[in-house]
Amino acid sequence: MEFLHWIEQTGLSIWIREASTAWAYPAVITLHSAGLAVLVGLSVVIALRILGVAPGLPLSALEKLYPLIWLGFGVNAVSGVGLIVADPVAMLTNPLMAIKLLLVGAAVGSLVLIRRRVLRSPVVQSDVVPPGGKTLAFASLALWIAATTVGRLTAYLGAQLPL
Amino acid sequence: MAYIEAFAGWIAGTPVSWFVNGLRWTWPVAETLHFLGMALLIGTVGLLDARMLGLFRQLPVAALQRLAPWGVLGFVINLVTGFLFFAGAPEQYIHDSIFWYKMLFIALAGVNVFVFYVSGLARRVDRLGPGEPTPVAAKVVAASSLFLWFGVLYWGRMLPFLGGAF
Repeated sequence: MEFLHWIEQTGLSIWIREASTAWAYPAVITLHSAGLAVLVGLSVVIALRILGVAPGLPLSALEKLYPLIWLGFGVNAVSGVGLIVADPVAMLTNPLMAIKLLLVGAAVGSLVLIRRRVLRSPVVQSDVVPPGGKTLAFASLALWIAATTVGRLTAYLGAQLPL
Repeated sequence: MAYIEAFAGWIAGTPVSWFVNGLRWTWPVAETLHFLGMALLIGTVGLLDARMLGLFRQLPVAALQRLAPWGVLGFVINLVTGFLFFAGAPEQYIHDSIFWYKMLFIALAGVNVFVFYVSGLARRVDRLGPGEPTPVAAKVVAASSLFLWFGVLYWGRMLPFLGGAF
């Protein structure tokens, strides 16, 4: 708690929270939304394809989306730290934040598993989804939806900053 | 503006407005759906735009265009949830210039989509073979689309900060 109050007093925290150039906090939170759009959006596209939507998309080509997905994740990791630093007491004493981070971790794990077990499986060359692939896709969808939902809810149940 | 004011006044008295303001969870649920709809829209449409701009050439454009209905679904989810937000505080939104910028960008994005389909550009792009470059017109549409939709995201996010909202 002491540590969290200490973070709150640092220059970075004060800058993000109160910069008289009103753009600091809005910029960080916009980046977080944009990163989410890319990260969750593309993850959903991959899951949808595995579940049979747009069958013209070669499964083997989906791997090419991963660098952009990881970029979205990176933007959100950095902006996420920025959001936490701006209001560390509220963010880090909110149990929903821990749940969200766990869900994000699991969702990222599902992406990694999809890449290894589905997109790199030899049967994928004939555009066939290996066994367990569809289950993984459903799980990934569910995890990203859950992470986004809990992320949104942290704003309503705990944080003191504007929504 | 008088008509808009009248409309806002009327909406504020409807059951929809009560649904948003009177129940504790309507807004959080609607907002969560709004974010998910946004991710769906940007994921599908944005990917098609990126492809038209030359990224991910291994993905056939025609197949990516099959994702468009899901983008429309995302848009519809956001149209409905967006209407709920509006109904909850119409007076606040109609006097907020940031809200009108967001609506403008959505309208422009709609025009962009309309032009893409009506001009035959969508059909032309559909027939592109692997490795074939996209026509310049398609790149203009794609770049505009990305700019406009991320712009919508930006204005939406800025509502509590730049405008008079909340």
